[in-house]
Amino acid sequence: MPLLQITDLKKTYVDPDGQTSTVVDVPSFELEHQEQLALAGRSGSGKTTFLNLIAGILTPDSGSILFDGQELVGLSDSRRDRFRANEIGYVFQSFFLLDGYTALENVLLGMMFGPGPDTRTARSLLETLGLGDRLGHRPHQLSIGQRQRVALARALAGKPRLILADEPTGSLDLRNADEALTLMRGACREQGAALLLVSHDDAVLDGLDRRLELAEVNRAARQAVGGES
Amino acid sequence: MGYLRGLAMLVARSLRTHLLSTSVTVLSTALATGLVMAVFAVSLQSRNAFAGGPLGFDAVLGARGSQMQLVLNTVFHLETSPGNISWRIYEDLLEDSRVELAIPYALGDNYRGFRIVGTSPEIFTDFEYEKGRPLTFMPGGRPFDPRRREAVVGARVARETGLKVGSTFQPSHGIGRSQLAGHVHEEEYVVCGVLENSNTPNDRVIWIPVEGIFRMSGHKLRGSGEKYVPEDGVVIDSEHKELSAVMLKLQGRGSGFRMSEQYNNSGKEATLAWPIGATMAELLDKLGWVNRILEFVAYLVMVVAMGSILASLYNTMNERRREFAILRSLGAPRRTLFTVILLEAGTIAALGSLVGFAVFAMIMIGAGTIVRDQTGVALDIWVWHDAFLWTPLGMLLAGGIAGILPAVKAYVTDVAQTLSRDH
Repeated sequence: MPLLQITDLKKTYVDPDGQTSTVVDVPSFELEHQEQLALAGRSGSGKTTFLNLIAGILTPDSGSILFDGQELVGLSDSRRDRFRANEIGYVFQSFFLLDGYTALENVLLGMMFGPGPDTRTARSLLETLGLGDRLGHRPHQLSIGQRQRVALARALAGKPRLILADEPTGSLDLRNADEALTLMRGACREQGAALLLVSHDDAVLDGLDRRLELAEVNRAARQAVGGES
Repeated sequence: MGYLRGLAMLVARSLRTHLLSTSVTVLSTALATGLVMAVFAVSLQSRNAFAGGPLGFDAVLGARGSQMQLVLNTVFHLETSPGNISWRIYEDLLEDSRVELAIPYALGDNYRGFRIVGTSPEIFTDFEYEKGRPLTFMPGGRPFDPRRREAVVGARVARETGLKVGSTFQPSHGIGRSQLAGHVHEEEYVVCGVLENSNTPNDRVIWIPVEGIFRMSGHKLRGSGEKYVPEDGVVIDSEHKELSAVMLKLQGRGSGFRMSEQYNNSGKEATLAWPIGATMAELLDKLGWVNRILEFVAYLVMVVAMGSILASLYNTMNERRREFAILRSLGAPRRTLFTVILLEAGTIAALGSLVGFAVFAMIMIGAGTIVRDQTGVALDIWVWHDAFLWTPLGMLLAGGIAGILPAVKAYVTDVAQTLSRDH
């Protein structure tokens, strides 16, 4: 059984003019356990919405999302929260670290709502990612590359089975992007987590086990015009 | 780090991030808490001190008139004298088996605003302002000799006027500070003793022999109904002498009832204020509306503090939407965010309540100083009052209520929308 099995997933929005637009229309999609898959999507192809649906941040209008055989669509708000806290690690393009917290605390927050905060694990993760001397630093005291690594550590901290990465290297220069990708892939492999990464950067996309065009997966992306969803 | 510690971290970080608004809100909460506790404590302590405090006397006998004025004038050394009674009444009281101790008070003069009370030496030997606590002298002091122009000064008088043993002064005519510019008598008194602090109105008094008041230049005695001016070297006949009041310690409650009946209901010459505590309680009851207003104002301040908690949290909600969305994306349930905001409100209220005790202490020290300066009565500011419990609890509840609206705002944060806006 695949880790993630999506069938006939649809998400539509009503814009301010009252027009309904379909952002996600995925007839079928699968991701195996520990697989590292890259989805290539340009801006406005519905990639963020797709990831948010998988993470349970958004609810679909219809369709099915099976995570290791468990249906996520129709779960209550609180059960989706619990699922997200325990099974999903999310890496955002803008990292979304909390400014008032140290690197270590940001990582601890990644565990807080799932398995529970464990300082030793959080510290060890940051050390593995080369931030052993930056534990007490706040995000604004870190370089962009270091922030990205803290965000990765936070995503991995709860030992999730799936890491979702939305343009994870979008804010990094070439050298940092390459390094971040290597770290991310290695860490996922080490933890036995699957990786679903969306990007528009070929250099990133080609570095993973498998690559798919989002437009192939998402029928709505074929018709999408302009603006990120 | 457990979940609760995690919550504590979220609360602490948020309060630290908004340190200025947190501090201002804690301060306003502290002022409200301190003020409410102080209003109730001052009210209780005033009643205890004025209506049940250590006064040493059971009753006061004075001129026909208001019992309240009599008590204020003689026990607390406030107000003016309602008039005089004849010396004969005092002599009768000395023989009265219902009376344990009778001490004469003759008023009418002051020194730099402090009252001069003409009295008998028994005030230093037989009188106890509290059981087992007579007026005691500072080293080198002694009671006055009733035949000499000697004076004993209260502790506060000594502090403020600088009078010490051996100092001399000339009394001025009249009672109280309004008489500061009054006629200065030619007689000169020598201080023979300074009293230890007693935290009673006696600290604000200068004691001289009662004979001294009778013979003060310019004084006229009307004990017999006719004006009489004492002459040097001539014994004053008892019929001419008069007193402002006689302070009494009675032999049991029955004596008080009987004497009250005798003087207040049957007699026409004098008024007996008994029991003194009841007279003061009546006064405080009449002034109860002042307390009600103060309580009302204190509650209003509490509502304002509650509003400031609401405003301080609510104002940060927009800038914190991103934080809430990130936490939600990490799996934080909505109720956790709701709880965090309520805990923040509760923490501000709790910190405010803690600091409120310091504010309370400052208010009480200030109030205690004013009351002591004005009346000589010391408030026991550290006595337990239920307000010390229910005010902080009430503030916690108010803080919790104030936190509900911001907490709801955190609860309904739209994760996807907020994060996509910040992307």
